Amino acid sequence: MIEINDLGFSYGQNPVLKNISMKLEEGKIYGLLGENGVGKTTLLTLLCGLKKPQKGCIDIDGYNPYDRKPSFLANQYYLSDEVAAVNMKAIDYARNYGKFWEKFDMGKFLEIMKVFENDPEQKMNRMSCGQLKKTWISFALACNTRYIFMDEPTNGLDIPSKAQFRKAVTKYTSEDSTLVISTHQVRDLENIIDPIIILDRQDVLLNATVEEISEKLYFDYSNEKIEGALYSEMTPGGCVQVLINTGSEESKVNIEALFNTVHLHKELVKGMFAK
Amino acid sequence: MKTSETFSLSRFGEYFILDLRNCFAKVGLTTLVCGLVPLILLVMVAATNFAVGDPSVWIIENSVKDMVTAVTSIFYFLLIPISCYGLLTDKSAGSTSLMLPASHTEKYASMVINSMIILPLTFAALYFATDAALWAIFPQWYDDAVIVDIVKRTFRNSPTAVMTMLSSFFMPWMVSAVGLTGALLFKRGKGAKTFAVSAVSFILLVAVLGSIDIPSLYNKVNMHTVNVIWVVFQTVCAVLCLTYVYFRTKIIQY
Repeated sequence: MIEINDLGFSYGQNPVLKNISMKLEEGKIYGLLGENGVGKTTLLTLLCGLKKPQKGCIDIDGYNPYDRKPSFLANQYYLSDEVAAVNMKAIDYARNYGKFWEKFDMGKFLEIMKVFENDPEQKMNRMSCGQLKKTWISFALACNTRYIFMDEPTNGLDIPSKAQFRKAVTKYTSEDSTLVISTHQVRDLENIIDPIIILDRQDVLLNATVEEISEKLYFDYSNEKIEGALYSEMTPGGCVQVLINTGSEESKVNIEALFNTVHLHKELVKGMFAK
Repeated sequence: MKTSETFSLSRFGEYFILDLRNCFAKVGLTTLVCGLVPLILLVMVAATNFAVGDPSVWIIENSVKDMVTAVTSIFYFLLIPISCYGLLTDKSAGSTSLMLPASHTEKYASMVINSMIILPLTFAALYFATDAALWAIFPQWYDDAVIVDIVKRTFRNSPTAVMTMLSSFFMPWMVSAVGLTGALLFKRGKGAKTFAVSAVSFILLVAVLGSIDIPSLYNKVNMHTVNVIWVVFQTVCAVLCLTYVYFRTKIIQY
């Protein structure tokens, strides 16, 4: 379990995260959404121990991530948005580095590489940006760690690769693993992320499961304009409108519309989902 | 069995071998080229002499060899830690290493052993072996092997021999420690900046020493004391640099 209490972080005079508190439960794939510069990457680097909280604390199964204890590091994997092009074949990298993660599974690494149509015998510094990213994603998932933090994993992936990514995450993530995936490209991760966290400047606007969201908000896909909709958007295929769910009706959550609704009605949505 | 959070020998062994392999992948070729500098020197001098001078009468004297050895060694000891560990301040490469499940002590020990012992020893062994081989094969063109020359000169001055040897022995450590500090202190232009700061510090040191009346000091203290002071100075420098590297790597953030 990840517990974040009153977390604060700033770059010089520029505060990025302020009084952030939340709990992340085990065995879930969290989608961390937010506009540019709201602190998604900062939050992920704080969670994995690459940065030290300036205020508040983070507790991951009793560990302070910044202590970077080997037993903590062996239970987590952080996939940065900027991945290194190592002068080594992918398979050799996996063989040499994988042994540091107790549960690393070479067979799984090769399987995921196959899903991605990536050649493990290729040198990583000769791979394209997308191929390199897919290699690192394969490695991250094959480590079988309890926590995986991925920063913009779908950046640089082509359209088939994004589908392969969704398939790999769904199929190869252990049941007790917690994934936190930060992204701008919500459509890439629709259907796999649940719960959804929406960060705003210095605040958490939403941290709720898809079920909770659909209980409280109704997503209407009809072409009729509805009075009192919190958000409405015309799309080439029709219209999507977000309303307060008064009648316990079920609807499919549209993450992009949800994101825009939350940003339009920050206080209302925060109040609705306050626990 | 619960493994140690601070130091586990088996984990250190695995990390050390991985780190060593990475170091040789990065600087193996440079080490080879630097180690073969005596051969490169001989070929260059021979080619020049055959081209423009009398090919029968020439020799690479020890004074020239000493200068080349000093320049090559300083270049190697100062810049090799930067090539191996300079990327630790880079987000993608540095965070990959930092997030590897090994303790800070293990990573630090591996870094120090590789950049201050293994790589310098490999270079020195290769360099002196090449030098000795050239001396044995071409004695007419190549003066005494550097190592033989050092021993000869040292023991000619027998009362201070051990201390003089020690002062030479500590020098590479200090330079490597300075190189390692430069690797972590500067974000960009690590090699040039480390070299520039070292050169300026050296000039300042010479200027300070120049202001002291050395001849009268020599009358008061003997050469042995001077060597002891030099060894202490080098050790203190190396310890300070390594302390900085320890804490810098412990608290590094990306």
